[in-house]
Amino acid sequence: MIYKRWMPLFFILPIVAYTLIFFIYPFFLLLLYSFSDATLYSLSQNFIGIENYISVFREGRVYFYLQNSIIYTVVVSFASLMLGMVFALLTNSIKHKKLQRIFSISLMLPMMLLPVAVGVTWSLSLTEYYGWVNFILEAIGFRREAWLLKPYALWFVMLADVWGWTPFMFIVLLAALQQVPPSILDAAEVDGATRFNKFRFIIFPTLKPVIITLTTLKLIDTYKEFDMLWVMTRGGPGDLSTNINVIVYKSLFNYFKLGRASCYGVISLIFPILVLIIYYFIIRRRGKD
Amino acid sequence: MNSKDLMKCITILVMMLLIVWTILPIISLIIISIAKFGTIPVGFQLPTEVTIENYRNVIFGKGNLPSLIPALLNSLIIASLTTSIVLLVSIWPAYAASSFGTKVAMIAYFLTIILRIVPPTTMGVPYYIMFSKLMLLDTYLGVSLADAIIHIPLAIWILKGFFDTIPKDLEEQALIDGASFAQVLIRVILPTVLPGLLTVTLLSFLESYTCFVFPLMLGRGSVDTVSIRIAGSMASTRVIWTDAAAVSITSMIPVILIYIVGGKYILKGIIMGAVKR
Repeated sequence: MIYKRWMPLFFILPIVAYTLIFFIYPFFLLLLYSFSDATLYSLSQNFIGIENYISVFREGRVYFYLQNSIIYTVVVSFASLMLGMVFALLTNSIKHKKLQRIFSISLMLPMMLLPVAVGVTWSLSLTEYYGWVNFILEAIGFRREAWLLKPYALWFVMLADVWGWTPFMFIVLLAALQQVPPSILDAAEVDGATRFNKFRFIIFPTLKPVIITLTTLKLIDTYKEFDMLWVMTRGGPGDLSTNINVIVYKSLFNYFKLGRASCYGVISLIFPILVLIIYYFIIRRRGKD
Repeated sequence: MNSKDLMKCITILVMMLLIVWTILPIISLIIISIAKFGTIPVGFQLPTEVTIENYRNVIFGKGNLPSLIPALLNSLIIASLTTSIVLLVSIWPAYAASSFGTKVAMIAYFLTIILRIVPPTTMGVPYYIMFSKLMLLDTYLGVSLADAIIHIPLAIWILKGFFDTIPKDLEEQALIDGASFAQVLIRVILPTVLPGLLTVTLLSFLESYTCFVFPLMLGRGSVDTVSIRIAGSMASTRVIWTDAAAVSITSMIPVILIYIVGGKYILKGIIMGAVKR
C-alpha cells in the first residue's frame, strides 16, 4: 500500500526538483537582486530597498516597454492565427491531393528558417536599396525608406514574426480541419448552407478548442519574443522598439546594472503571473465540473 | 462567367498571393546569398555575377567572418545535451500524469505551465548569478540546463498524450500475471510510447538547435551557437548582406535534414502539442 501511495510522488520528483532549482530558487534570487545595486562585474549586493523600482517607475519608460510587449504579443498572435486560418481553409479546399501537398509544403517553408534567420530575411527585405519591399513600393509610386530605422520599426518586426509563425498555425489548423467529417459538410451543402454559414456553424465550433489552445500557446510564446527583435532592430531606433525582454537584456549586458535588470525582470513577470492565476482558476473550475 | 467561376478565380488569385508572400522573402535571401560581394542585386534583379564564394566563406571563414563549423558543432552538442535532459526530466511526470489520476496530473500541468510562461531573458538574469557561482558560465551544460526549461513543458504534454494510449487493462493484467514492473515497462509501455519518445526527441532537438537567448546571456564565446553566428553577421553597422544571407541559408541544412528524416513525427508532435490537451 505504501508503495502505491508514494509511487506518484516518486514520479513527479524530477520535475518538482527541476522546478525548485531552475525556477523557484532563481525567482527568489531575481527578487532579491532587484532590491540591490549589484553590477554585472561585482555581483555583490548592497540593499537599497525599493530604489530600483522607484527610479524605474519615475523614469516612466517601463510603461512604454510593457505597452510594446503587449501590442506585439496580441497583434502577432491574432494576425498569425487569422492568416494561418486563411491558409488552412484555402489549402483544405484544394481537391487535388498532390497539389494540396505541394501547396502546403511551400507554405511551410518559413518554418525551416531559424528565428534569427527570419530576422535576417526581413531585415534584408526591408533595407533601403536591396530589399524587395522597397522595390515593389517604388514600382507603385512610393518613396524608398529604410523601414527598420523608422519610429514604427516594431511593426515591421511584427510583420516578420507573423510571416515566420503563420506556417505553424497553418499546419495545426489544417490538421484540425481535416478532422471535420466531410459527411456533415456535404449534408449542410445539400440543405443549402452558404460557405460562410458552413464555417460559422460547423467548422468553427469543431475547431474552437484547437483555436483556444493554439492562441493561448502563441500568446505565451510571443510574450517571450527576443530573438527577432534583437537581430532586426536591437530595440532601436533609440528605444522605440524595445520591449520588456530587450530592456532586461540591455540593462544587464549593455549597462551592466544587475539590480536594474532584476527589477525589470520582476516587472516582466507581472503579466505571466496574471495569466497563470487566471489559468489556475480555469483549471479548478474545470476540475469541479 | 457566373458567380461560381468568379469565386474560383478569386480563390486562385488569393492562393497565388499567399504563395508569393511566403516564398518571396526566401527567394530574395537565396539571390543575395549567391551574389558576388559588392554587386548585390537591387529588388528582383538577378545578380550580375553568380558565385559560391559566400558559402565557401561561411564554411571556412574569411577575415573577420568566423567559420560556421564550430558554431554548428556547438549547436548540435547543446541540442543533444538539452534533449537528453528534457527526456530524463519529462518522462516521469508524463507517465504519472497519465496514470495516477487527476490530482497528480494537475500538479504536473501547473508546474509545466509555470516553466513555459516565463521569458528566457528574465530567467537569464538569475541564471547568470547562479552559474557564475557554480562555474557553469560559458559551458555546454549550463546553457543546456537553462534551455531545457523551455522544452520540458511541451515534452510532458506530448508524452502524456502517448502514455494515455497505453491499454491500462493490459498493464494491470500483466502485473497480476506476475510480470515485474520492469517487464511491463519493456514489453507493454515502451512499444506504445516509442513513437512519442521519438517525437519529443526530434522536436526538442530541433527547437534547442535554434537556441539563442541562453547562449547569448550565459556564454562568453565558447558556446556560440548557429543563431549567435547569424545574429553576429548583423551586428556591425555595415552589414555584409551576402554573408548574412549565406549563413542563414546554410544554418537551415540540419533543420531540413531532420524534417526529411522525421518530418512525420515532428508534425504529429506539433499537432498533438496544440490539439490534445
